[in-house]
Amino acid sequence: METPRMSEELRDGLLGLVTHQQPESDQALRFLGRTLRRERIETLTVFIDRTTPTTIYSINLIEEAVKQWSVENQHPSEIVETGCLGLISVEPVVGIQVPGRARLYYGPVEPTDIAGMLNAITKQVVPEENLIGQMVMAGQQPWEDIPDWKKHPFFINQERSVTSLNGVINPCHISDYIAWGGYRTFYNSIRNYSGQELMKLIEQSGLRGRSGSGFLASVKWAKAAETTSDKRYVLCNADESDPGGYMHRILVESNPHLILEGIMLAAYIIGANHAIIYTRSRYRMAVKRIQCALSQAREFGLIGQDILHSGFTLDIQLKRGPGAFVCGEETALISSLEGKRGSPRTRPPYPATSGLFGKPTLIHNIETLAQVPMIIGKGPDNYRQLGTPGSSGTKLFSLSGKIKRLGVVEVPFGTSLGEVINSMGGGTRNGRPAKAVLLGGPSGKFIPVSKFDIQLDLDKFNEENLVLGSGSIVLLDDESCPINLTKNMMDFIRQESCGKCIPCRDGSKRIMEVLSLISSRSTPENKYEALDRFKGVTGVLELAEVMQSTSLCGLGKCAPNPLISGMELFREELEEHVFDRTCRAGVCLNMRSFLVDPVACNGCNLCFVKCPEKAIIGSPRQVHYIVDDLCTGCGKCFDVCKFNAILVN
Amino acid sequence: MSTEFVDLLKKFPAGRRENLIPILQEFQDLHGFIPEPAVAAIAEYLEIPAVKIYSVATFYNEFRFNAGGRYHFQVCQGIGCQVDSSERIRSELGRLLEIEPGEITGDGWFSLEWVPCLGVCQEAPVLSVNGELYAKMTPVRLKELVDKFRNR
Repeated sequence: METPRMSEELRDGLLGLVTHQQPESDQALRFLGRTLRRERIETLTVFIDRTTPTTIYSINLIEEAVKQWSVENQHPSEIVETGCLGLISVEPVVGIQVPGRARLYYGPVEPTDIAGMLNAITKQVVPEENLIGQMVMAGQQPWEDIPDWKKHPFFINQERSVTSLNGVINPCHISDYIAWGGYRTFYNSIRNYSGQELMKLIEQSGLRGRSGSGFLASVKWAKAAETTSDKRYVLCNADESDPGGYMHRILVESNPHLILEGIMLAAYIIGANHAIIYTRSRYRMAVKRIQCALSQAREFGLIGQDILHSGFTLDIQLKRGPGAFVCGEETALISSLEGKRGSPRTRPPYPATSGLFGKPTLIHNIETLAQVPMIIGKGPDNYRQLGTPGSSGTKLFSLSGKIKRLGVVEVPFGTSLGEVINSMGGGTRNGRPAKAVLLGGPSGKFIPVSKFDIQLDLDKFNEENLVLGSGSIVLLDDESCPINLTKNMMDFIRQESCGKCIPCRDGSKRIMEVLSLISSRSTPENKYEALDRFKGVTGVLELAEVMQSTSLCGLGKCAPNPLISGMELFREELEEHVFDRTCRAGVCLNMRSFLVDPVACNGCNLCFVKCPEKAIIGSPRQVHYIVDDLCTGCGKCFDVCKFNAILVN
Repeated sequence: MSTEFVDLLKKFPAGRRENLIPILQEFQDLHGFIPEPAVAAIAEYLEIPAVKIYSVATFYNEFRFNAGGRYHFQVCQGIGCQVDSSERIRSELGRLLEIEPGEITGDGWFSLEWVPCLGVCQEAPVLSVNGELYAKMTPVRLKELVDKFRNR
């Protein structure tokens, strides 16, 4: 991912695209824009998705296959790295474009498929296997009878504005972003408008923070701008770290310059000369992409002293977060940047008046900042057309769990949950009945199937006492156990609790203990142990409520959410765990018991050999038997049996 | 102190606490972990007590104070993997290697860590060994994988 140095000619051209009032009216600029947008190409071009979800595939082999095909057929080709379209269940996604024709997207693509596909497409035949659709740009001839990629059920009802360039442009080149109109809003703003004028636009747009609380952005902005200080900061929180969400990572990996432009505009509006992007050090691809974007923007003169002769000075730095979930909380993030433990502190004072090093600081996550160029570029009225009166604009959601089509979707606020799950996500993976959704990760709540018609809207969710959270949607089907998932979420909180408030530090540990006890098999226990277990079960809800009301930060306050909503919704299942000591989904590992089907067992002896607990007795060619008291329920016999002779109880 | 380390420290102004985390990160990038002498040297350079450095460094998931095993297993803890029963993988791995997360096997071959989402939810459950990803793990495939490393 090295950044090739820009030629003077290209630099001037790009500068023209950014600064010219109407670049479409200038022939040379129009031509340059078309070339950079790859509407007009000279040779066969192959677009390969390179983001975190594709790291697991042999992307290099796909590249090799393209190069080899090129050499063998003496057909020149170009390979372009792109971001992610959002549909990660069909990764690796590859786009193929021949001169004059629309771009075709395929997925999943194997390295061995490449030669056949390229042979066909260069002969103007479209192979329809694994086709996602075609993307027609200006001046291109569409392929006949091939659906547009936006007609794909995953994309058809999406409203892609923040993610519009994801998977289309090369995220490692500033020229791609500029060719699609990038940085024009920023240039126009710093040359022609004052911070106050632009602040009005933000206020009119009704922009709300995308990180759970849904705080009105303009209040924060105004406070940060009004507080008198010699220094102000803009912090961009790209430290997603929600175990169920990946939309921010995909966004920043697919279009880092959009985030930079959002930060630049925010800094200009509140009058900050310093900005910091805080991203998790483990997100290696995101770190690389941001570094690359920063160095290009610096080289191009968009960061530094007297930006584009406007008199505005801005420095943006990247700081790698060393990994703590609690650093998503704004005061904890500030502590972390100051070189301390990431513990939250009491508010007020809010960071907008006294934040990083005691200076006024504006903190937003990347999704909120990514909205800013659009609001200012297209105007607040345009922006408000999407979404609901209370929550304007669009929201990203990541779909995971037992869903058919995994990925990141962008929908206007007000879209129903059912539509996202069933039409975009395609329902459950194996067509099994859905059980519920966990929306908002470890601080979220379970939403049952009966409530799937609820609108995804901040005010609606507040009314119903639900949590929109960061927007991670995890679908559970009848083979998933909510008790087990709650236990794992609580274990996550236990590990990530900063330890400042006792209710959160010890409460999460205690709740985790209780949930572990009720999700393990019955062992011979004396009456005190049994009493202890029941005391735990009866007291767990009270403990959760104490945690909720006495913790300082959002992490502790929201941590019992899955437990409280789960206990309400899955009462029956919980009672089965407590009284019958069974897990109907068969997920709670220790609760499973196994039986040998005497008809199917042919005495191959494999389970006898593999059983780590020596709980299986039997000799070759004889029906085997599992001793229940020795069995720990690891399920190894079930996995190794080739004759389906082990039954799960 | 190696010259490499001196060069690293020189990049940051002395006595400024906010540089603690970047220094620790760069040191770990170079050496893989943070040994005791390094903590002492950083403490002197930044003019803060070594105990404060430990207080900060142990708070975050990223920092390690011992060298990892020859094969460092990182099991994804994301919800996507959990729903696809990564718990089986975790319990099986614990049993195969006979260690808890954060520990190293006696022979120094294997170490184990649970990490937040690795970002390849479509192939859940996933784990990574020395940075290389292994997808759609089952207890049986896991045993094969561990055996493969053991026999190397």
